[in-house]
Amino acid sequence: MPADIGPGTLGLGWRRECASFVLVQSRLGFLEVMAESLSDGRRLPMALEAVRRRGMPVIPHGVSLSLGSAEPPDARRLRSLAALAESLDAPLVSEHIAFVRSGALDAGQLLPVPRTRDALHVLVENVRIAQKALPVPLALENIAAIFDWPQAELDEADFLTELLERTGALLLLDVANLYANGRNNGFDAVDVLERLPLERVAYVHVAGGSEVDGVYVDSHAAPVPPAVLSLVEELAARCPWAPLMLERDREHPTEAELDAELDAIAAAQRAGCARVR
Amino acid sequence: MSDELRLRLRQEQTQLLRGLLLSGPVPAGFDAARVELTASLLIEKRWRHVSHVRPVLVRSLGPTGRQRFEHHAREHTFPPADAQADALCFFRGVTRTTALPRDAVREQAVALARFRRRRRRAVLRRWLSGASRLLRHPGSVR
Repeated sequence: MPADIGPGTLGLGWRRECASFVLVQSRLGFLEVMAESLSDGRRLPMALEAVRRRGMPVIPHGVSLSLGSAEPPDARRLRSLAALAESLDAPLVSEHIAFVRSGALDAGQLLPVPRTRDALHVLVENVRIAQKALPVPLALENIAAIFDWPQAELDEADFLTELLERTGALLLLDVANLYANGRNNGFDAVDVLERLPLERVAYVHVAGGSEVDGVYVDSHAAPVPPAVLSLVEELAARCPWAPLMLERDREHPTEAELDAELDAIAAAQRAGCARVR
Repeated sequence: MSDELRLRLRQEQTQLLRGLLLSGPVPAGFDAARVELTASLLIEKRWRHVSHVRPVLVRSLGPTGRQRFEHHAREHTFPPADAQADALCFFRGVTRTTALPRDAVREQAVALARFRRRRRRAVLRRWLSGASRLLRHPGSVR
């Protein structure tokens, strides 16, 4: 029986560098692991297996399904993700609202999909194919996009909402990505937040970024900035039960710094929840 | 209708990727500066991954290494996760014009042997995983 993510719990994106922190801490309620790092029957790192056996939910998070591509998702990649979900006894899996490749051209990077009805139709079909192949619910993550497709027919909130309603998928709400897109493309992230189907939130990503040539880049290489923590507070005020997960991919912090990051997220969550009462 | 939509989307996405990955023209309507920034960040990510798997090669190239990698990356596209293939292609390009020190050459040879061993093991794991699935569900043939 998969262990569910407890409401309002804190989580962490597993990286090798945080193994010792994960083993000794008691404040984390769930972990997320990059699915592609464990594909093809690779063994779970010892620390991850140890906490999983103690009952910690571990969620496989894919980056290579390319659900936003014109092609349907690859059957072998889906089988691999499904097998991983089963072996981890995961409560759900997550992937991205993005495309990564077209034919033989593979960017290996999450790229935005056109926010048009035609592209949405294809995306919905691809998500349904993925859902049929997976043994657990699928959560879809909104990505950060430095550029946008021209001639969008739907804004970010409407596109996400319609996608989730037509597929029944859950939402992995990345507030850092929402902040980045709002800042780079000139819209109010709180306005988008208010219009999303927050009852579908499975969990939330929180991360820091960097500025490059005047553009805010979702690098996961810096502490979470106050503006993103502010968005965490706004979310918690509307969705107090949402589990919150810290992502850090580079410039790995010390254990004390990791604790401080989690403290900051928890404080923003408490401030938001206090507004509910 | 869905096939037509997929065909049109594929054409559009391929055109964008050619602009992003192969220094082709950026399709009309896109913010060219933002697409170029995305391309640069992608190359930077590839450089980080290649530097991680070939530290001796990168050190031996010195300050010109980054620029040489940029030139390589705009001509040969690899996903950042494919660092071994990217590094091998970069290495081969460099050795066409530059005599590398022995330890950089040894680093490449060792990495290639390790990569081939891992690939054989991955193929075997996939085969065993498929075989065990077939034994558990004899009726299913995919």
